Amino acid sequence: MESNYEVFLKADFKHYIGKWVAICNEGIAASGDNAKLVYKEAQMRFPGKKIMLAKVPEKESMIF
Amino acid sequence: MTLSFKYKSIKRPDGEEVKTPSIPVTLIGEGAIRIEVMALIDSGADLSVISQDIAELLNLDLNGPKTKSRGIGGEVDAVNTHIKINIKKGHEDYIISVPVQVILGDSKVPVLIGRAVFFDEFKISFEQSEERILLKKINSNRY
Repeated sequence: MESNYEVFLKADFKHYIGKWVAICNEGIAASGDNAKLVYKEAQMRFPGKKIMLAKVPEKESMIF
Repeated sequence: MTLSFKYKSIKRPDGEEVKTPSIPVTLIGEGAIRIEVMALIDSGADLSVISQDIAELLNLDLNGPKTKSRGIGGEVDAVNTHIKINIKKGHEDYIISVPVQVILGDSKVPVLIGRAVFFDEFKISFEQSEERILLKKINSNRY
């Protein structure tokens, strides 16, 4: 079974630019603008699964 | 031993590709709440940074004195606190307590690991041409 990190490395995020994504071993479990809501939604959709959050960077993003 | 993580390549709809030095870590908050995240290693940041919604997931107390976080784009309200960062791969498993700045409001900031404490604990090498980041623990105290 793949780890969340392995799923992250393989995932295609081109439709999630600038979004938070929740990843479980079945793929992208949820996405959106608010990390808390994305995490909760992923927990509801995949109860018992380990969830990993990642922010997909925007083009040439700088912090602040 | 050295922890090695590949850069994540992200292709955009316009065909451009961006590669980021991010690593999988588990953030540990109040009451031992653990959230696994991809964190960007940011040698330009003094402190580690998380957004308010991540802090709320970790049940961090945000009632401390407010401060200003200053970046190249200006100032934002923030609260200084601490979290623990668990990093592991293979037989390597470390927990580091770091100061963290929580950016208040609806920020778009990712999880950033800045220099304070974390860069004292690891020798960190960005191997851009190899598209990987290497972390070597400086002292070998395991947790």
